[in-house]
Amino acid sequence: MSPRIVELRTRILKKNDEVARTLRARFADQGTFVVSLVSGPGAGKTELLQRTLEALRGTLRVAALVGDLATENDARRLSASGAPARQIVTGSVCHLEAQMVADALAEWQADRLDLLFIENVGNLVCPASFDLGEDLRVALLSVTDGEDKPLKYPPLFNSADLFVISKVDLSHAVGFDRSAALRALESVRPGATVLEVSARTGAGMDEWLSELRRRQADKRTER
Amino acid sequence: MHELRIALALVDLAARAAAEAQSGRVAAVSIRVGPLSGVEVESLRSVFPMAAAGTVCADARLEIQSEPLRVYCPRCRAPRDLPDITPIQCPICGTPTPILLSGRELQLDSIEVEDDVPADR
Repeated sequence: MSPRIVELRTRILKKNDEVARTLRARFADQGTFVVSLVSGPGAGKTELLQRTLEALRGTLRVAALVGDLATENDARRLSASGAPARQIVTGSVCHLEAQMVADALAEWQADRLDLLFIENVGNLVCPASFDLGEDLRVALLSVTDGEDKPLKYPPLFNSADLFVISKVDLSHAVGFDRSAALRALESVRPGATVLEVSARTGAGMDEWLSELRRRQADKRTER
Repeated sequence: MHELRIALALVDLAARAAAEAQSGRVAAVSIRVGPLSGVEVESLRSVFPMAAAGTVCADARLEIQSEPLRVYCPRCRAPRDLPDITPIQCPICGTPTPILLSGRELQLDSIEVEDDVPADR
């Protein structure tokens, strides 16, 4: 037996990346701006998304996909906003992959969209490596999470383009150290925009919504 | 346990490459992993045999090379390797920089294959 070395130099997640690239091309073609949300469980992704869909659906064609290991609960909550929402049940998989997004969209007779949200499985580790074809990845850090979560999970927070500090209405009650959180985010992803929001009280929602509108409009003009 | 998904993707790529090279046995799989790839090297190591079982990679060694976390410092105008995963800033002058030169790698570099021994020998 003679051993031989075969040079490959290929991305291990090549298949996922190829599907993500196809999705991104399709979204660009349709003029759909795609935002994914990542965070640990219970940081408030669904609440933020529900309020966001409610606020935007009058002026933009919006829809949402939401991933969870089990249950259709989140899709039901999001549908209450009046915007189309669809659940991706991942079974034992702890993150979304591009193919799951492609499959969910293929089954969905949705009209062309201005803005599509993809809510990832609540997990601070696994979603980091998987490109979903999104334009913007938003990581949520809730004031109840603890200020140092970004330092404990750098790959996920580093993979985000924008940060939302959520549940800021609870800051005082939980003794949230705002400057420590800002330092942690800056340490893991220097220069990224940080928005401070309470979906429940509406605090900071205007800034969040105008950030989304601005980026969505920018993508439109790029076409 | 996303490492299992990654191990399965890896075995799939390696098996295809072995088939293309007309080999029925992979002796080693060499990969390159960066600290921001989102992959825990030890987890990947522990699930690799599970993913490889019953394939041409079943007996393969998994060789993992760690890539440095390297940024470009706009102030020093130089590439810098970071000693830790955070803070992501120049270790010399302390300037924060979002410009990553390496650290997200999750790459299959090469495989070592063995040629099948002809049955009549």
